[in-house]
Amino acid sequence: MSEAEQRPVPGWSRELGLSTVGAGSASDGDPGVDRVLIMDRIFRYAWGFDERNIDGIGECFTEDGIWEGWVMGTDHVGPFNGRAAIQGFMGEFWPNQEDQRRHVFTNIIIDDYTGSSAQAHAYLLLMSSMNAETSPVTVGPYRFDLVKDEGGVWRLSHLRGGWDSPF
Amino acid sequence: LIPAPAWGFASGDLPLVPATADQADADAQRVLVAERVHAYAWAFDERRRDLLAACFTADAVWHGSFGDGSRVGATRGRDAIVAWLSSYWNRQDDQRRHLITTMQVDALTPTRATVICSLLLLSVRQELSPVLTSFYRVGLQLTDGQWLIDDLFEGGDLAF
Repeated sequence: MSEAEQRPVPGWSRELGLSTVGAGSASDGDPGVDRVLIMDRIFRYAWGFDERNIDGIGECFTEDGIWEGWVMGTDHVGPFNGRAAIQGFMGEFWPNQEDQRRHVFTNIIIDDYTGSSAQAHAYLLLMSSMNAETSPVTVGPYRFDLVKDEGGVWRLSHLRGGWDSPF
Repeated sequence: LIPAPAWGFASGDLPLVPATADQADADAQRVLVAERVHAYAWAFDERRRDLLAACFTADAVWHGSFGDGSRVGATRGRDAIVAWLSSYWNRQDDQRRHLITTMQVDALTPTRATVICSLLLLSVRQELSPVLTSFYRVGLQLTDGQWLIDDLFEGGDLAF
Protein backbone atom coordinates (compact mmCIF):
# COMPACT_ATOMS: atom_id res chain seq x y z
CA MET A 1 0.00 0.00 0.00
CA SER A 2 1.41 3.39 -0.91
CA GLU A 3 1.77 6.17 1.63
CA ALA A 4 -0.95 8.10 -0.16
CA GLU A 5 -3.43 5.27 0.39
CA GLN A 6 -2.46 4.51 3.94
CA ARG A 7 -4.66 5.85 6.73
CA PRO A 8 -3.69 7.43 8.99
CA VAL A 9 -0.40 8.84 7.75
CA PRO A 10 1.84 8.78 10.84
CA GLY A 11 2.13 12.23 12.36
CA TRP A 12 -1.08 13.41 10.65
CA SER A 13 -2.23 15.39 13.69
CA ARG A 14 0.85 17.61 13.64
CA GLU A 15 0.64 18.02 9.88
CA LEU A 16 -2.95 19.15 10.30
CA GLY A 17 -1.91 21.72 12.90
CA LEU A 18 -3.98 19.98 15.53
CA SER A 19 -1.19 18.82 17.86
CA THR A 20 0.85 21.98 18.20
CA VAL A 21 2.93 20.75 21.12
CA GLY A 22 5.65 23.27 21.96
CA ALA A 23 9.05 23.16 23.61
CA GLY A 24 8.02 23.34 27.27
CA SER A 25 8.13 25.94 30.02
CA ALA A 26 10.79 26.93 32.51
CA SER A 27 10.34 26.17 36.20
CA ASP A 28 9.90 28.93 38.75
CA GLY A 29 11.68 26.76 41.31
CA ASP A 30 8.55 25.61 43.11
CA PRO A 31 8.88 21.85 43.90
CA GLY A 32 5.25 21.24 43.02
CA VAL A 33 5.68 23.00 39.71
CA ASP A 34 8.87 21.02 39.10
CA ARG A 35 7.03 17.72 39.54
CA VAL A 36 4.37 18.80 37.09
CA LEU A 37 7.01 19.94 34.58
CA ILE A 38 8.85 16.63 34.89
CA MET A 39 5.63 14.86 33.95
CA ASP A 40 5.13 17.40 31.19
CA ARG A 41 8.55 16.55 29.76
CA ILE A 42 7.69 12.85 29.64
CA PHE A 43 4.45 13.65 27.84
CA ARG A 44 6.27 15.93 25.39
CA TYR A 45 8.64 13.08 24.53
CA ALA A 46 5.61 10.95 23.64
CA TRP A 47 4.10 13.72 21.55
CA GLY A 48 7.41 14.31 19.80
CA PHE A 49 7.73 10.64 18.90
CA ASP A 50 4.15 10.09 17.79
CA GLU A 51 3.96 13.28 15.73
CA ARG A 52 7.42 12.67 14.29
CA ASN A 53 8.62 16.02 15.45
CA ILE A 54 12.39 15.65 15.27
CA ASP A 55 12.95 19.10 16.79
CA GLY A 56 10.50 18.28 19.56
CA ILE A 57 12.43 15.10 20.34
CA GLY A 58 15.66 17.09 20.39
CA GLU A 59 14.17 19.58 22.86
CA CYS A 60 13.41 16.73 25.24
CA PHE A 61 17.03 15.70 25.71
CA THR A 62 20.14 17.32 27.06
CA GLU A 63 22.97 17.74 24.57
CA ASP A 64 24.61 14.60 25.99
CA GLY A 65 21.35 12.74 26.62
CA ILE A 66 21.21 8.96 26.26
CA TRP A 67 18.40 6.81 24.84
CA GLU A 68 18.38 3.03 25.29
CA GLY A 69 15.92 0.25 25.96
CA TRP A 70 15.37 -3.41 26.71
CA VAL A 71 12.83 -5.84 25.30
CA MET A 72 11.67 -8.17 28.09
CA GLY A 73 14.81 -7.43 30.06
CA THR A 74 17.02 -9.22 27.57
CA ASP A 75 17.36 -7.69 24.11
CA HIS A 76 19.16 -4.34 24.37
CA VAL A 77 18.42 -1.49 21.95
CA GLY A 78 20.99 1.29 21.77
CA PRO A 79 22.40 3.14 23.54
CA PHE A 80 22.29 6.27 21.43
CA ASN A 81 24.55 8.84 23.01
CA GLY A 82 23.83 12.51 22.52
CA ARG A 83 20.88 14.52 21.23
CA ALA A 84 22.05 14.35 17.62
CA ALA A 85 22.43 10.56 17.74
CA ILE A 86 18.94 10.17 19.23
CA GLN A 87 17.45 12.39 16.55
CA GLY A 88 19.38 10.45 13.92
CA PHE A 89 18.05 7.14 15.23
CA MET A 90 14.45 8.36 15.24
CA GLY A 91 14.79 10.03 11.87
CA GLU A 92 15.95 6.77 10.30
CA PHE A 93 13.47 4.64 12.23
CA TRP A 94 10.23 6.52 11.55
CA PRO A 95 10.06 6.00 7.76
CA ASN A 96 10.14 2.25 8.39
CA GLN A 97 7.24 2.40 10.83
CA GLU A 98 4.10 2.75 8.72
CA ASP A 99 1.50 2.83 11.48
CA GLN A 100 0.45 5.72 13.70
CA ARG A 101 1.94 5.04 17.12
CA ARG A 102 0.58 6.50 20.34
CA HIS A 103 2.78 6.38 23.43
CA VAL A 104 0.43 6.47 26.44
CA PHE A 105 2.40 7.20 29.60
CA THR A 106 0.79 6.58 32.99
CA ASN A 107 1.69 5.79 36.63
CA ILE A 108 4.37 8.46 36.89
CA ILE A 109 6.30 8.57 40.15
CA ILE A 110 9.26 10.82 40.84
CA ASP A 111 12.21 9.77 43.00
CA ASP A 112 15.42 11.45 44.05
CA TYR A 113 14.15 14.96 43.41
CA THR A 114 16.82 17.52 44.31
CA GLY A 115 15.52 20.70 42.72
CA SER A 116 17.90 20.37 39.79
CA SER A 117 17.72 16.63 39.06
CA ALA A 118 15.21 13.83 39.39
CA GLN A 119 14.44 10.30 38.37
CA ALA A 120 10.97 9.38 37.13
CA HIS A 121 9.26 6.09 36.38
CA ALA A 122 6.29 5.63 34.09
CA TYR A 123 4.36 2.90 32.38
CA LEU A 124 4.09 2.94 28.62
CA LEU A 125 1.08 1.55 26.79
CA LEU A 126 1.99 1.64 23.11
CA MET A 127 -0.93 1.67 20.70
CA SER A 128 -0.93 1.34 16.93
CA SER A 129 -3.44 2.53 14.35
CA MET A 130 -3.32 1.53 10.72
CA ASN A 131 -5.95 1.17 8.04
CA ALA A 132 -8.88 1.91 10.34
CA GLU A 133 -7.81 -0.54 13.03
CA THR A 134 -6.34 0.25 16.43
CA SER A 135 -4.51 -2.34 18.51
CA PRO A 136 -2.15 -2.51 21.50
CA VAL A 137 1.50 -3.12 20.66
CA THR A 138 3.27 -3.51 23.98
CA VAL A 139 3.42 -2.27 27.54
CA GLY A 140 6.34 -1.72 29.85
CA PRO A 141 8.27 0.36 32.38
CA TYR A 142 10.25 3.47 31.45
CA ARG A 143 12.83 5.18 33.61
CA PHE A 144 13.84 8.79 33.01
CA ASP A 145 16.78 10.68 34.48
CA LEU A 146 16.19 14.42 34.22
CA VAL A 147 18.16 17.56 34.94
CA LYS A 148 17.05 21.18 35.06
CA ASP A 149 19.17 23.39 32.83
CA GLU A 150 20.36 26.94 33.56
CA GLY A 151 17.18 28.30 32.02
CA GLY A 152 15.03 26.26 34.39
CA VAL A 153 13.89 23.77 31.75
CA TRP A 154 13.72 20.07 32.65
CA ARG A 155 15.27 17.78 30.05
CA LEU A 156 15.98 14.07 29.79
CA SER A 157 19.59 13.12 30.43
CA HIS A 158 18.92 9.39 30.18
CA LEU A 159 15.87 7.49 28.93
CA ARG A 160 15.65 3.77 29.59
CA GLY A 161 12.74 2.09 27.84
CA GLY A 162 11.39 -1.30 28.88
CA TRP A 163 8.96 -3.41 26.86
CA ASP A 164 7.24 -6.54 28.15
CA SER A 165 6.69 -8.02 24.69
CA PRO A 166 8.52 -7.70 21.38
CA PHE A 167 7.18 -5.47 18.65
CA LEU B 1 8.86 -17.98 30.43
CA ILE B 2 9.26 -14.61 28.71
CA PRO B 3 8.96 -12.14 30.24
CA ALA B 4 9.63 -13.34 33.78
CA PRO B 5 7.20 -11.40 35.97
CA ALA B 6 8.82 -8.38 37.63
CA TRP B 7 11.78 -8.60 35.28
CA GLY B 8 12.37 -4.85 35.54
CA PHE B 9 13.29 -4.96 39.21
CA ALA B 10 15.07 -8.30 38.96
CA SER B 11 17.33 -7.03 36.19
CA GLY B 12 18.24 -3.91 38.11
CA ASP B 13 16.68 -1.65 35.50
CA LEU B 14 13.95 -0.52 37.85
CA PRO B 15 15.40 0.60 41.16
CA LEU B 16 12.15 1.56 42.85
CA VAL B 17 12.64 2.90 46.34
CA PRO B 18 10.21 3.78 49.11
CA ALA B 19 8.99 7.35 48.97
CA THR B 20 10.62 9.67 51.45
CA ALA B 21 9.20 12.61 53.32
CA ASP B 22 9.08 15.43 50.81
CA GLN B 23 9.79 19.06 51.50
CA ALA B 24 7.55 20.20 48.70
CA ASP B 25 5.08 22.87 49.64
CA ALA B 26 1.32 22.53 49.65
CA ASP B 27 1.01 22.94 45.89
CA ALA B 28 2.78 19.62 45.45
CA GLN B 29 0.43 17.64 47.68
CA ARG B 30 -1.98 16.78 44.89
CA VAL B 31 0.91 15.39 42.83
CA LEU B 32 2.29 13.43 45.78
CA VAL B 33 -1.13 11.90 46.44
CA ALA B 34 -1.26 10.75 42.81
CA GLU B 35 2.25 9.33 43.04
CA ARG B 36 1.25 7.21 46.04
CA VAL B 37 -1.52 5.54 44.05
CA HIS B 38 0.90 5.00 41.18
CA ALA B 39 3.43 3.53 43.60
CA TYR B 40 0.84 0.97 44.74
CA ALA B 41 0.51 -0.23 41.15
CA TRP B 42 4.29 -0.37 40.61
CA ALA B 43 4.78 -2.26 43.87
CA PHE B 44 2.26 -4.94 42.92
CA ASP B 45 3.54 -5.37 39.37
CA GLU B 46 7.19 -5.50 40.40
CA ARG B 47 6.36 -7.85 43.28
CA ARG B 48 7.88 -5.63 45.93
CA ARG B 49 6.44 -6.49 49.33
CA ASP B 50 8.49 -3.73 50.93
CA LEU B 51 7.10 -1.03 48.65
CA LEU B 52 3.60 -2.42 48.92
CA ALA B 53 3.80 -2.21 52.70
CA ALA B 54 5.14 1.34 52.39
CA CYS B 55 1.94 2.37 50.62
CA PHE B 56 -0.45 1.61 53.49
CA THR B 57 -1.15 2.76 57.01
CA ALA B 58 -0.91 0.08 59.70
CA ASP B 59 -4.71 -0.08 59.99
CA ALA B 60 -5.54 0.22 56.27
CA VAL B 61 -8.49 -1.53 54.65
CA TRP B 62 -8.63 -3.15 51.18
CA HIS B 63 -12.05 -4.12 49.83
CA GLY B 64 -13.84 -4.36 46.52
CA SER B 65 -16.93 -5.15 44.53
CA PHE B 66 -16.88 -6.87 41.16
CA GLY B 67 -18.99 -7.27 38.05
CA ASP B 68 -20.40 -10.65 39.03
CA GLY B 69 -21.85 -9.15 42.18
CA SER B 70 -19.19 -10.62 44.42
CA ARG B 71 -17.56 -8.66 47.17
CA VAL B 72 -13.94 -9.10 48.17
CA GLY B 73 -12.66 -8.32 51.62
CA ALA B 74 -12.48 -6.35 53.69
CA THR B 75 -8.89 -7.23 54.43
CA ARG B 76 -7.78 -5.18 57.38
CA GLY B 77 -4.29 -4.11 58.38
CA ARG B 78 -1.12 -3.43 56.39
CA ASP B 79 0.44 -6.83 57.01
CA ALA B 80 -2.72 -8.73 56.10
CA ILE B 81 -3.18 -6.69 52.91
CA VAL B 82 0.41 -7.29 51.80
CA ALA B 83 0.15 -11.01 52.59
CA TRP B 84 -3.13 -11.32 50.68
CA LEU B 85 -2.06 -9.34 47.62
CA SER B 86 1.34 -11.01 47.38
CA SER B 87 -0.30 -14.44 47.60
CA TYR B 88 -1.48 -13.88 44.02
CA TRP B 89 2.07 -13.68 42.73
CA ASN B 90 2.59 -17.42 43.04
CA ARG B 91 -0.50 -18.04 40.90
CA GLN B 92 0.13 -15.38 38.25
CA ASP B 93 2.86 -16.42 35.83
CA ASP B 94 2.22 -13.46 33.55
CA GLN B 95 3.59 -9.92 33.80
CA ARG B 96 0.75 -7.76 35.10
CA ARG B 97 0.66 -4.00 34.54
CA HIS B 98 -1.84 -1.91 36.49
CA LEU B 99 -2.26 1.27 34.42
CA ILE B 100 -3.78 4.07 36.48
CA THR B 101 -5.53 6.76 34.46
CA THR B 102 -8.23 9.41 34.64
CA MET B 103 -7.34 10.39 38.16
CA GLN B 104 -9.09 13.02 40.18
CA VAL B 105 -8.00 14.06 43.64
CA ASP B 106 -10.97 15.01 45.78
CA ALA B 107 -11.49 16.33 49.25
CA LEU B 108 -7.90 17.41 49.67
CA THR B 109 -7.21 18.78 53.13
CA PRO B 110 -3.84 19.28 54.80
CA THR B 111 -4.03 15.72 56.17
CA ARG B 112 -6.53 13.77 54.05
CA ALA B 113 -7.35 13.12 50.41
CA THR B 114 -9.62 10.92 48.34
CA VAL B 115 -8.65 9.72 44.89
CA ILE B 116 -10.90 8.34 42.19
CA CYS B 117 -9.15 6.77 39.20
CA SER B 118 -9.53 4.17 36.49
CA LEU B 119 -7.52 1.00 36.22
CA LEU B 120 -6.65 -0.76 32.99
CA LEU B 121 -5.12 -4.09 33.96
CA LEU B 122 -2.93 -5.63 31.29
CA SER B 123 -1.26 -9.01 31.08
CA VAL B 124 1.75 -10.05 29.05
CA ARG B 125 2.43 -13.73 28.54
CA GLN B 126 4.32 -13.59 25.26
CA GLU B 127 1.48 -11.41 24.00
CA LEU B 128 -0.24 -8.39 25.45
CA SER B 129 -3.89 -8.68 26.42
CA PRO B 130 -6.30 -6.69 28.60
CA VAL B 131 -7.52 -8.38 31.79
CA LEU B 132 -10.12 -6.00 33.14
CA THR B 133 -11.04 -2.43 33.81
CA SER B 134 -11.87 -1.16 37.26
CA PHE B 135 -12.07 1.97 39.27
CA TYR B 136 -10.23 2.63 42.48
CA ARG B 137 -11.49 4.79 45.30
CA VAL B 138 -8.58 5.50 47.55
CA GLY B 139 -8.51 7.24 50.91
CA LEU B 140 -5.17 8.63 51.98
CA GLN B 141 -3.85 10.34 55.08
CA LEU B 142 -0.70 12.35 55.60
CA THR B 143 1.39 10.41 58.10
CA ASP B 144 4.86 11.59 59.12
CA GLY B 145 5.13 13.65 55.95
CA GLN B 146 4.01 10.90 53.60
CA TRP B 147 0.67 10.24 51.96
CA LEU B 148 -0.37 6.70 52.88
CA ILE B 149 -3.40 4.70 51.80
CA ASP B 150 -5.82 3.89 54.61
CA ASP B 151 -8.78 2.74 52.49
CA LEU B 152 -8.59 1.18 49.03
CA PHE B 153 -11.77 0.09 47.29
CA GLU B 154 -11.70 -1.55 43.86
CA GLY B 155 -14.79 -1.62 41.68
CA GLY B 156 -14.12 -4.22 39.03
CA ASP B 157 -16.03 -4.37 35.74
CA LEU B 158 -15.68 -8.16 35.51
CA ALA B 159 -15.73 -11.07 37.93
CA PHE B 160 -12.86 -11.17 40.40
